[in-house]
Amino acid sequence: MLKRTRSLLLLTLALVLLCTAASASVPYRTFTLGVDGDLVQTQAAYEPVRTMTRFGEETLKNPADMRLGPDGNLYIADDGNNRILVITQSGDFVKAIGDKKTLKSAQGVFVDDDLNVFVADEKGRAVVVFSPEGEVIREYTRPTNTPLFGENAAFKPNKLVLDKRGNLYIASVGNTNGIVQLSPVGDGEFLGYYGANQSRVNWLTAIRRRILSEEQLKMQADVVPTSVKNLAIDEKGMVYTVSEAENAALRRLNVAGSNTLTPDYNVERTTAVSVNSHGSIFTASKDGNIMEYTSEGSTLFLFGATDTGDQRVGTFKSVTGLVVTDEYNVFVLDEILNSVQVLAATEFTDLVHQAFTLFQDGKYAESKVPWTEVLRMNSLFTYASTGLGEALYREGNFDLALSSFRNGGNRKGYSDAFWELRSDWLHRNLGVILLWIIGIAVVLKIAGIIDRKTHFLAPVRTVKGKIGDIGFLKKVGWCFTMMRNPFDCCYGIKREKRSSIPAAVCVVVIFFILQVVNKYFSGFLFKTVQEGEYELLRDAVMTFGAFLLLTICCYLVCTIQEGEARFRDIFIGSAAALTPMIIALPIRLLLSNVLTFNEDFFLTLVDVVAYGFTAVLIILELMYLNDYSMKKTLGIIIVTLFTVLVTVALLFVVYVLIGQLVDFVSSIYGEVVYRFVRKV
Amino acid sequence: MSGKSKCLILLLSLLLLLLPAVMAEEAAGSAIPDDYVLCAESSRFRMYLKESTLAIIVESKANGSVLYSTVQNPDDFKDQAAWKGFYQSGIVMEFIEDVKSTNTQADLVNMKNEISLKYLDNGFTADVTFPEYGVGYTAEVTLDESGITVKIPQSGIHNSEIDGKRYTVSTFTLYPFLGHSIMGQDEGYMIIPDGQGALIELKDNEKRYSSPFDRPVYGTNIGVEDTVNSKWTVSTEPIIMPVFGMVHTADRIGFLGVIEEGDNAARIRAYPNGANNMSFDWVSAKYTYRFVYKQPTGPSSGAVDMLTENARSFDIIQHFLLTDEDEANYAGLACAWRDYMEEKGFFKNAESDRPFDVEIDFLGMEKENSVVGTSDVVMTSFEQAGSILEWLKTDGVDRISAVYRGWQNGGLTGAVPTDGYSPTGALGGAGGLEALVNKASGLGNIDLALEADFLRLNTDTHPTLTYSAFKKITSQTWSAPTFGPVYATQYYLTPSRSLDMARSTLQAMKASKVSGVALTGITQLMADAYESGHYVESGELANRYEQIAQTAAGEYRTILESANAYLWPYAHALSDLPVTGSDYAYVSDDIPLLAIAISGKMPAYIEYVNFQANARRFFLRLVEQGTRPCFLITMEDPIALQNTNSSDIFSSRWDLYRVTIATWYRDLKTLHEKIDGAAIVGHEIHGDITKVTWNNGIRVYLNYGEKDASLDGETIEPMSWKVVQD
Repeated sequence: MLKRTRSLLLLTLALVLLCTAASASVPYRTFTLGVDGDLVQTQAAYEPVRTMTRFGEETLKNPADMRLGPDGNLYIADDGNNRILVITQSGDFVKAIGDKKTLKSAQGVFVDDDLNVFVADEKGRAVVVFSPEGEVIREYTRPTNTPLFGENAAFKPNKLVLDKRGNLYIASVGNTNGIVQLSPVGDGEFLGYYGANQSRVNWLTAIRRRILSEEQLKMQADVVPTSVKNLAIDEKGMVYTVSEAENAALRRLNVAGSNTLTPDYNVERTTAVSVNSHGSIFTASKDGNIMEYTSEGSTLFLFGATDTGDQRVGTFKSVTGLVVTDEYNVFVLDEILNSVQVLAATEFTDLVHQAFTLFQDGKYAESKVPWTEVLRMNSLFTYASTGLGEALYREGNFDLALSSFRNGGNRKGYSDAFWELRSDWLHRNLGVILLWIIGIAVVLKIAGIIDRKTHFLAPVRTVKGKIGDIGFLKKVGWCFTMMRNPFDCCYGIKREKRSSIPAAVCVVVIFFILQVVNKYFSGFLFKTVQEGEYELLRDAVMTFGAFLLLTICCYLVCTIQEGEARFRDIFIGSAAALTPMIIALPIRLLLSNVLTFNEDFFLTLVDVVAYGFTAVLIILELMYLNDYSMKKTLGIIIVTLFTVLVTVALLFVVYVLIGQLVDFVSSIYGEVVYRFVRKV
Repeated sequence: MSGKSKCLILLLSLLLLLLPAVMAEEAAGSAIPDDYVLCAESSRFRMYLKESTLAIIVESKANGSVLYSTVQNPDDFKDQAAWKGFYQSGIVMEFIEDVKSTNTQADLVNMKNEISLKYLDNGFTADVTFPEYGVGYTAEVTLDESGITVKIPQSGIHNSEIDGKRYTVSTFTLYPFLGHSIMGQDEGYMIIPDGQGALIELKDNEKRYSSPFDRPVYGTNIGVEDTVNSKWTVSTEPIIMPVFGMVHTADRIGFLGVIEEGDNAARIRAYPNGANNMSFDWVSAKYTYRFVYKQPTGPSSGAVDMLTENARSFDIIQHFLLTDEDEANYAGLACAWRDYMEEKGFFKNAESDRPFDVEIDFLGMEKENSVVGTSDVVMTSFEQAGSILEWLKTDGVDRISAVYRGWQNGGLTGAVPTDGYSPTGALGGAGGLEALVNKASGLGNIDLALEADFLRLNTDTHPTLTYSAFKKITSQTWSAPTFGPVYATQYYLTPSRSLDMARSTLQAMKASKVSGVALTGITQLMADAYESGHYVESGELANRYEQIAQTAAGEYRTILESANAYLWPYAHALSDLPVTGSDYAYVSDDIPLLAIAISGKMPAYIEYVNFQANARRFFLRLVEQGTRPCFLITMEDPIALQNTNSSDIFSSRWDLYRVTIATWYRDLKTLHEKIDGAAIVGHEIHGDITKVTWNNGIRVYLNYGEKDASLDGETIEPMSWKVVQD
């Protein structure tokens, strides 16, 4: 008894000494999703609480995986020591399961409801099942009596989970067919492959697939699907997988093995995943970036950092395991530091979770209080703005809901609230608007009648006529005739000098201004650029530079293709072809500020008409000006686009060469100066 | 039981009783090896010297405990010869041969040396020469009532040129192993100046920590080292106080190393055992006079090794403040440091009797992109700031230190450096500011200060200052990304330009009738630079920044933000002090060494409350340290800042903070009414409970845990605090 007490005392002392209590500082920044879907900084969501490196007399050696058992203990696949180490959440040693005789390696671990421990023994090529007392009670090896498994398919269990029916889901190293699904019945009947990752297919891959042999293709990394790095399973039996490739960083597979989750943000080299009973999904990358997603796959928080040598608590060298409890305590296993770091949710995060729970339970009114408090702590927290917006919307407070949705960057909610407000406004003002329209029409009609008798509008007509007689405006106006009669317009440009280059420049400038206004002042719902983002210089270069480059290249191509048009003609003709856009852009701007998502097809219609009309006019303009056939015109356009590509590439090469030349000359100068003149 | 047995038991008992006494006597007798001689004695300590290596032993007269400055049994360790030489020498010098990038170690064991020793009344002086290389130095080591002082005057350092080879003295380390410990053999801790102070426990680390704490005093030297600004990680806290320490708690003896001169060129190094495969825990400062750096010869490739143009100019003066018995702990050492700073005039300008108040920082304006150029984002106008102050008064916040930030045209990140006095019209112009000053004055007990930054440079808004941008010693312009959407790159001003601008601006600001200035930027930088074709060493830079602080202190109530210690003599108050450290894995506890040392002497405002994720714990820290809170306030919702370079300000709206400010002020005022004018004399951490003792008999107990906890018969509720009067 005395000996036991002494051991316990020693153990406690060791724990006190070795569980380094941390303070409130955090070595990493925490990010959440901002209004435009980008990451913005927020206060710390999780703070490092302690680092556990010694558990009684036991330490870890290259640990590979960690699970939370139904008993609340942590089960660590202690690979370097060929065992499963069981510890409490405070770091107390509970027991060790397995040894060198029973396990060749311990890469993955899972614990069932009866506390049986399933170990993925990669080197032993088996899944070894231990009783809670630590005795081997079963082994699953490579399925042999089925051709479905694949003759050359490997069975090197690396990570695993178990569903409520006892089916095993095993991630096998080197087996890219998918997760191996084994039944608990018989010898572990092979049920099939489950939820294979897709390889990334791009145009380069497609070409390679056509020209390379099968052996050569196997050497290409991106044509082989990435293998699953770790798994988790939730209470509903949904299986979560993570992979190092960013495109399959996190997936949630249903019974059929189909992915039902598309996270809005992923990090590379994801190696661990954990889900708690609240449906919160956590992943960790090898480099120590930890993400918390909502059950819908929205990024709630991104935190954690790599240990770059400063040895700070809360930084990691190589994460291999992650466990998140229902209390949002985060346990992170590191195979190089041989430690389990514990992170705890901050007061801020507790509030966020509380609000989310109420919100997801449909208690919108009740969620208002915590959401408001979250916003007090962080005005830019979009989830709180959206949550508050939803609550206000349901209360019928559309005005405040609108601003909340806008602050939260929630376009769908904003659209709904705007629809309600607009509908209400129209109800109240439709009569007045109609009266105004009728009134204006009547006034105009009467004015027309009076004018016919008294000619009191004659001075206005004179001024209008004088303006119309200004030569430059006439030339600008000629460009707009392209929409009515392209042939006449081109004839006027080519033969009658009805327009000029300055007039064409004016048209392009008008187009540019309207485009800029449309880009930056479209309604919130249809704006394609981020709030506060203005790139006027880039816009100007893109518009004027692209226009000039295209017209020059087109002219050069036409010249060698026996085209009749001069550069002047192509320049003016191309500007004239933009006139449908000049008409469409103001309409688009107006509509974008009054429409909701319910009527967005109007905007699509305007776009299709404007772009289509412009494209047709470009073709006709080139055809008429050069006296080409339609077929030849299309050919010329393709060659022109290719010429533009080559020109851009050439300009880039020249730019790089000049840069290197400057670098070379200044290096020689610097060396002379520092070696001989300023030598100390 | 037989009589024989009884006798045997009696004898054994006697032996057991006498054995410790005999052993203690033996130990005491053997504590000072024979080759050491007593060279100085104060009322509390004795200092012994080993002449051949200048090693010393410090002995407490009260309890006989000793601190060794060298390893006594080096043969027990299988370290390299260079390390053995290092830890057996009292003073270790390094020198550079021509422009070799590695230093040669000149210790007093491995390298042939000649020592000319002269004993003084309270210590000794030693002229040390290394004849083979012709380099050497003079050191003076004395013991007085406060502790040991080691001086190496620059005039005593000699370089040489032998056979066409130049030997240039580069670094010094003074008694690096004083108080060292071996693999947890001693109970105690090292003190490092991380945050407000941190402890590294003396225990066997089982080689968990591979690298040591090794940081430059006053932060990264941007003129020499490459800085990596990461959007993802929080930088480690820069060292703002040039101190380090070692305490042997069981032996009840300890020291605090305080750098008096040479701080601008020093690094603090603390090695927990296991770091660099060594078995020792040791802490010291390393001083660098000259060094070799890579001089790039082209924009992207090519470099030559260069030796710095001249040596940094300073005499090394380092104190080891000694304590023993009940004062042999970090609180006792902090008190000793406080006495030292008092004597050296660190608090000469400090408002030591300033009653408790709260700092309210107003953010005036920022800039965001617009279609053409930038547009103003007005967050708090002068008039609105006046209203807020008035409302605070109504809420019972009767004493306020207000700081106005972003008050010039260009706002917080556009109007840098602070150039002249021209309050932006967007906030109300000079008239509006004057009205605010008058309003603050009329309300009473409100000190208003304008923030002035003479370091940061925005070349987008100040293109004419592009050629005054701070250059590294390689003559390359220093810059860093801001990660902001409006201004992409951050620059600094050259030290001379900062000084010129500060002088003219501080003069011009007199027109504002504002009584205070909050200096930022220059208060946090220490670096070597390149200016007007010459190398500017860190001491010159410090000198110019000192002149700025001095000029400000002569005219205004001067608040120094995150200020390096050498500027404290010019501060009326310090602000933006860190609450915790960088959380190094080897640190066992953060301690408020700084708060203890300046308690009762210097008002200290802590980093912003706004951005704390655990507000309650942060509040308890303020109670523990006796420091004052600081809030960043805007009238408008900070959502308006999301497209500016200040998008990291996510919480500041006045109406959401009104109640918090009033509540925190009221709660903290009840504490400060009891401790104002007093100083901390004791600080103990007992698990979740922390006990702070003030010199007026007040004891404050804080419970950081989640359950009730008791200490000294006092029970404290979870996440709560209790004040007890003796």
